[in-house]
Amino acid sequence: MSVLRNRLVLMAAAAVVATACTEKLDSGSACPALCPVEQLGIQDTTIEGVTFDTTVGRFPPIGAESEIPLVKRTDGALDVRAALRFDTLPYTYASKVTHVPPDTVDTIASLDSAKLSFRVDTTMSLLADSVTFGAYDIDTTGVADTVTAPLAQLFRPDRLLGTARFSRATISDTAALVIKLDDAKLLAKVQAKTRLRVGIQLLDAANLTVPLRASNGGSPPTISFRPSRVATGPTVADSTNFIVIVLQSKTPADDENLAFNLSDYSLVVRGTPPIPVGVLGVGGLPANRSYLRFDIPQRLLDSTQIVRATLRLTQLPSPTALPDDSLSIGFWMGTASALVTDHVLAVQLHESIIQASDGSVRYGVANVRPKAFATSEGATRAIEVAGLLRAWFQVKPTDRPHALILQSFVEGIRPGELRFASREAAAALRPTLQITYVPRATAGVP
Amino acid sequence: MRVVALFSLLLAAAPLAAQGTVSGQGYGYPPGALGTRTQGTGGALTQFDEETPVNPAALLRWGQPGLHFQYDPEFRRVTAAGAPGVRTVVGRFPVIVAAIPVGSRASLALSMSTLLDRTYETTNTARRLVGAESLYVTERLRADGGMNDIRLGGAFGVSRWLSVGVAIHAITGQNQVIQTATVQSTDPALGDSTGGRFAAYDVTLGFRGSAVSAGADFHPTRSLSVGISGRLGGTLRALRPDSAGKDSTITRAHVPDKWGVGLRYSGIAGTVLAANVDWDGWSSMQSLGDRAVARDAYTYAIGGETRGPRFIGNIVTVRAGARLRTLPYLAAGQDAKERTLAAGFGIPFAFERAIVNFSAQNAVRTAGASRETAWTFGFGLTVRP
Repeated sequence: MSVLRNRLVLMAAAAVVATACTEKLDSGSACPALCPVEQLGIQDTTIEGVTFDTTVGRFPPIGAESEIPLVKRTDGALDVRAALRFDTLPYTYASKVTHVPPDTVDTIASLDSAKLSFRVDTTMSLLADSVTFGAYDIDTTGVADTVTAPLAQLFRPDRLLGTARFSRATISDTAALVIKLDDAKLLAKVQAKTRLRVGIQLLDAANLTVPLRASNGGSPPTISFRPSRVATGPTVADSTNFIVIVLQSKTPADDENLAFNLSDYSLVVRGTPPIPVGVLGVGGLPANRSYLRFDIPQRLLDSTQIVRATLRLTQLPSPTALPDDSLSIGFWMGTASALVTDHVLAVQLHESIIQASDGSVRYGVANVRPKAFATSEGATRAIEVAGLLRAWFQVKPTDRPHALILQSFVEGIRPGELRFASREAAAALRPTLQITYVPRATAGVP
Repeated sequence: MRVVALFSLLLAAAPLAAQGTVSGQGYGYPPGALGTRTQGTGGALTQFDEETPVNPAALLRWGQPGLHFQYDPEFRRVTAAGAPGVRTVVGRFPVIVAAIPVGSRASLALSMSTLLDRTYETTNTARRLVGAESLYVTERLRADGGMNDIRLGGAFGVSRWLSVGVAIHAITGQNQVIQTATVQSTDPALGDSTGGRFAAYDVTLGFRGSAVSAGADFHPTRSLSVGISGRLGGTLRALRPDSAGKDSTITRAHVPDKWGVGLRYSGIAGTVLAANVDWDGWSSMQSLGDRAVARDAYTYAIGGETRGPRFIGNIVTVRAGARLRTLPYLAAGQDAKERTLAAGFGIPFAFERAIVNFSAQNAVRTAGASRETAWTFGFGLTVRP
C-alpha cells in the first residue's frame, strides 16, 4: 500500500510540473522605464544610389501588341493608326447551293456586303460623343515592312475603302464594330489575285484613344464579303456564301516570326517625342521602359534591417500629356543576370504579379506597389522600395545587378507617358534613395 | 523509467514569457542556483545543500546516488513610474542534479542550473522619427532562454571535520531574441511594402564560457559548520551565426567570479540555523553587453529549518528565511535591490528515498521608482533510489 502511495505521490509531482508548463500568459507593458533594451536605433541616410539609368523602347515590339491603339489628338501631337494585312484573298469559292458536282469551285465574278469587323477595348478608350473610323488601302510595294512614313501617306481619299461612325453608346467591348468597305475596290483586289492591306485611322477632330483588339489579344479583325459567280452580282441563292478573310502577312519572307507579327500592328505616325538626355521615360507610344541600376552600400543590405526605403524621382511634365491624364506604372525588380548586357533584354527580365492562394496580389518578391501619377505634372514622387532592398540582401550585384524597371501598366495601349529626371540631370533633380534602417550589429545584445 | 519520463517532461517544457521587469535587465535574472530546500531558507543553506550547485564540497552530503530537479514558477507584478501595474508569469527549471558516490568518502555530481534567465516580452509604443516623418512605432521585444551553468563536481571527505570539493563549469545556453516593430504609416500605400510590421531582427545568441570552482565544508565543532566556496570565471563569449551559418563571437567577457561563506548551526535538536554571504562579480560581464550596466553584487541570507508535524507518518521539515541582494544589472538607471522572505517544507516518502520540497518566496525588487513584487513557488523532487 505504501509503495502504491509513494508512486501516486511521484505521479502527482510529475503532473504538477507538467501542467504548470501549459500556463497561458498575458504580457503587458511597463515600458519604457523597465524595457530591458533601448528603443530600436532607427537611423536614416540618403544616397543617390543609382549608378546607371536609361530609357529603353519600344514595348511591346512591333506586331506583338495585344491591342493596337488608335490615337488622335486635336493638336496633332499624336497620331497612331492600325495596319492590318490580308495577304491572301480568295478568288474562287465553292457555292453551297449551285454546284453540280459539289466538289467544283466557281471564280468570283462579283461580290457585295464587304465589311471589316473588329472589336475595341472601351475600358482603355478615350472617347468623344461619336467616333469615326476610316479604312484605307495601304498596300504598296518597294517599302520595307516596318517603315511608317510611306504608309502614312497612303491614308488619302483615293485609297479610302470605307468609313463608319459610331455614337459613344453603340461602342462596346462585346459587339464588333463594322466598317462597310467598297465592294468594287475589294473585287478588284480579288480578281487581280493580289493582297489587301488595310489601314485604320480615327477621322474625328478630337482627342481620342481607341485600342483595337489585335490577333495577339485573341480577337483579330476580319474582312468578309458575299461572292458570286455571275458578274451582275450575288443572287438570292448566293446569300449563304459568305467568305471570311483572316489576317495574314507574307512579308518579310525571310522572317516568319516577324511576318506573323506584322499581320496586324500599330502604325505610329506621330508618337511621343524622343526622350532627351537627362530624362527617363515610361510609357508613351511607342512605349518605353526605364532601367535603373543601383549600388547600395553592402553594409546597409547585410548589416541592417531596412525599415523604409524611399526612392524619390523628380517627375517632369510629359509634352504630350492631356490635363486629366494619369498613368499607372509598376516598379519591378530586374531579374537579368550580369551576363545580360543588352538593356532591351534586361528590361524584359523582371518580376511579375504573384497571385496568392488567398487571392491577394503581390508585385513580385519585392512587392513594390504600383503608383499612378498625373502625366502633366512636375513633382517629386516618392516610391516605397523597402521590399526591393530586402530582396537584394541575398543577391550579389555581381551575379545579378540590383536593377529596378519602371513599366507602364497600359504599355503600348494608351499614350500616357511619365518622365523623370535621370542621374544625368541637374543634381537637385536626380533620383535619390532615402533609407531608414535599424543596424543589426548588436541585435539581441542588451 | 519514471525518472526518465519526468526528465522528458522537463525538457519538453517551453520557457514562459513575461515582460520588462526590474529583474529582467541585461542578460537576465539570476535565480541563484538554489535548490528548493535552500530556497525555503532564503538561501541560508547555500554552502551546505547538496542540491544547490554552489559549493562542490557539499556534494559529499549526497551519500548515495540521487537525482534532483525542480520547477519554479514565478508570479510577478511590476509597477513602473507612470505606468499601470502589470502581472506576468515566468516559469523556470533552475536546478537539475544527478549525483553518485565514489567509495565511502567521495561523490561526483553533474548538475545544470540557470545562471541568468532572460525570458521576457515587452511592448512599447512611441512616436519615432522614421525618415522624415514622425510616426507611431510599436516595438515588441521577446527574449527566450538564458545562460546555464553545467557543472561537473566532486567532493572528498578529508576527515570527519573537513570535506573539500572542486568543479568545472561550462556556461552554455541560448537566447532567442525577436524584435518586431509596427510602423503606423500615414501613407496607406506603404502598408504592404514596408510590411507595416517588420522584424527588426530575429537572432539567437549562444553562450560559451568556462569556470572552475572549489569549496570546503568545515566542521570545527559537532554543531557548527562553515562552508566556503569560490568560483573563478574564464572567458565568456556571446555567439551569433554569421551569414554562412557558423557561430561567430560578437562580444566577449568573463564568467563572473563568485565567492561565498556560510555558517550552519545544528546545536538545537532537530533544528538547523544558517547564514550566508555571497559575492558575485557580475561586472566582469559588462563587455558581453552593449548598453546594459552590470554591477558586482552581494547576497545576504539568514534562515533555518526545523522538524514540523508529521504527514502520513513522515516528519515534515519546515523552513523559513530571508535574503537581501543586489541584482546584476541596473534597472531604469538604478541599482536593483531584492528583498526576499521565504518559507517552505519538505516531506520524505518511500522510506526517505524520495523527498518532495516546496518553497514559497516573496520578493520585492526595487529600482528607483520602479517596483516589482514576485511570488516564486518551488517544487523540488529528490530521488535516492
